[in-house]
Amino acid sequence: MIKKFKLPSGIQDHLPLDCYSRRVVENKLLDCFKYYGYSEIQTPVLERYELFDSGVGRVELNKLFKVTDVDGDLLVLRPDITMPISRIVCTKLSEGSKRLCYLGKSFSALENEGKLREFTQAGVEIMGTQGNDVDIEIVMLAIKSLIAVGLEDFQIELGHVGFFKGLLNAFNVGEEDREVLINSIESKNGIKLYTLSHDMDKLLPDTLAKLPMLFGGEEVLDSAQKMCLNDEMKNAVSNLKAVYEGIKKLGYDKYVCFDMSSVGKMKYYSGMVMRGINKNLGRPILSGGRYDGLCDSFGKHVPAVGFAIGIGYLVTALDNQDKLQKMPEIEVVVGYAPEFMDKAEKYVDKLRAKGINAICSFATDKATLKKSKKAIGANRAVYLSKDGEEEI
Amino acid sequence: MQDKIKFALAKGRLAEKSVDILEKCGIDCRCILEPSRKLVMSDVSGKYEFIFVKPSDVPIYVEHGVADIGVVGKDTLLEEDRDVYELIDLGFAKCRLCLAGYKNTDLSNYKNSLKVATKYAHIAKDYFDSKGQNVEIIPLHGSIELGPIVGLSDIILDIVESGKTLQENDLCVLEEIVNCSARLIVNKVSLKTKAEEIKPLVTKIEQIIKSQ
Repeated sequence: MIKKFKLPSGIQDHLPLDCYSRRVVENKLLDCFKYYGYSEIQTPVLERYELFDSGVGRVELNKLFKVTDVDGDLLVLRPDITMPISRIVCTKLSEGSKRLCYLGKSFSALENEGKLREFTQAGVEIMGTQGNDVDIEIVMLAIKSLIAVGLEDFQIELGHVGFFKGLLNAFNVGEEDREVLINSIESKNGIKLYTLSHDMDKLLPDTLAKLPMLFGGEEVLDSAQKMCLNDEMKNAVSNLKAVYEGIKKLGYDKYVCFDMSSVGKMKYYSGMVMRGINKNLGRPILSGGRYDGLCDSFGKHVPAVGFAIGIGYLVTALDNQDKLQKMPEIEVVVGYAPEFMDKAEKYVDKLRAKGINAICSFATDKATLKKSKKAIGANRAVYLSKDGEEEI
Repeated sequence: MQDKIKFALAKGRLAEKSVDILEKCGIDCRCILEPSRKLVMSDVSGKYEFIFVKPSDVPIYVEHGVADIGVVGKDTLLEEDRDVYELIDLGFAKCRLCLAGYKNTDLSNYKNSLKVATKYAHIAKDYFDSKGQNVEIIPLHGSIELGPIVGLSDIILDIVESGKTLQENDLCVLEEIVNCSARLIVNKVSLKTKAEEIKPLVTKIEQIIKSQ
C-alpha cells in the first residue's frame, strides 16, 4: 500500500510554489531564444532505440530508460533532445541553416544520488552552418539567456575538443589508450595521465601534466598557443581566440573563461565546448558545444552547435542568489451576499485589470469570508452587499 | 568578502595526515585533531571550514559542491565513481586492492559462480565483468576476512596494507587488482569559481608532496 504514495527514485513532483518559479524561468528562456530568432521545436518523449544506437551519438544501453512496444520493438525515453532534433533536421526540414530551440524533459535510467532521472532542459541548436561568428553567436546567447533570467556572477567556460585530440594525434596514441586518456583529462586525473603516457614520447607526459591546471582567463590561450604541435591544436586555439575577441568587442568578456582540458561530457562534441558555472552551485547549469559529426549517421553532414540549460540546477542557483521569482500572494478575496454574485464577479475583474491578484470567494456571509481570507492567506477581504463594499 | 573554502575529511588516520600537509600550507587546523563531537569546524582565520563525514561519503559531498575539496582513498573513489576532479596523489595511506582467500584457492575452478564478500561491490562487479567471470557478490561492511572462514564466501575483495590480518586468519593474497593511496579531490565548479584560493593551494600541496 505504501508504494502507492511513493515516487520511483530520481523522479520528482513539482508543487505549486516550485512550479511557479520554474515556469517563470522557462518562459524567460524561451522568450529570449525566440527574440534571437530561434524557432521552437518539440520532439516526442518516446523514440525508437535504434536512434541512440549508432554513430558518435551512441548512448550506452544501461543509461537508457527502455519500454517494449506491443509488437516487441524496443522504445526508449529520450536521453537528450539534441539527437531527436538532428533526426528531424536530416529527414524533415529543408536544407540550409536552422536556428531551433526547445524546452522539454529527458530521462536517464541510471540511478545516481542527487541526480534526477527525469529532468527538464531548455536549449538551442544552430544547424547547417559553422564558423567563428556562429560560435560567437551561441556563446553570446548563453550569456544573454542567463542574464535574462537574472542570474548573477556566472561564467561560460570554453574549451576545445580539438586541442586535446590534436595532442593525442601528434603522438599517434592508440585507440585503447586514447579512451583512458580522454576520461582522465575530464576528471583532471594528472596521475593517470602521467603514468599512462610515461612510456610514450617524453614530451607527451610533460604536456599532459600541464593540461589539468590550464584554466582561467584570456592568458590561458597564450599558454595553449605555445603548446601547439600541429594544425589541429593551432586551429582549436585560434577558434577560441576568435570567439573571445568577438565577445570582447561586444563587451561581455567578463563572462567568459577557459579550460583547455575540457572535452565535454557528450562523446559527440567535435569542436568548441562550453559549460555555464556559478559560485552558488557545485554543478554546471549549462553545457554544450559544437557537434559537426552527429548527423553523419543519418547520411548527411550537418555542422551544428548548441547548448542546454538544466532548469532544476538553474532554479537552485537563482534561489541561492535570492533571485527567484516567488508566487505572488492573493491580494484581495471578495465575498458577496447571494444576490450580488454578478456584481462581485465584475468587481474582481476590475481589480484584475489593474494587475491586482484577486479572487471571488463563495462566502455569502461575513464570517465565512473571514475564515476564507485566513485560509487563502489574502491580504484584504471585501464583502459586497446592499450596504455597498465593506472591508472585513 | 573572500569565499570560504570547505574541506570534507574523514576522521581518523586520513584526517591526521591531511592536517600535516595543510599545516605545511600555512593553514592552522590543529584544532580538528582535538577530540570533539563537532561535525563542522573552522580554522582560526575563518577562511577554511572542515566537515567530517564517513570516508565513503567524501566524494559525494565534493560532487555536490557542499565541500570544495576532499581527501579520500583511491579505493573509495573507484567504488563511488563520482564526477569530481582527482588532482593529486597525496602518497599516504598506501594499500592494495586485492582478491584474497585460502592459499589453495584456484579461481579457475569456479567457472559457474564464485562467491565474493566485499565492501567494494561496484569494483568487484566491474572487475569480474571485465574478466567474464560469473560471481555472486556479498556486500559486507566490516571484518570481510570472515567471509571464507565461516563459509559465507569463497574469496574476498578488500584492501590490504601489511597483510597481517590476512596472515593471522590463514588467508593470503590471490590477485592484486590496483594500488591505492589518498587523493585530493576537488569539485568541478569550485576549482574554477574559487580558483584564486584553490589554485595556489593545489600548487603548494603538489610541491610538498614532491619534496617528501
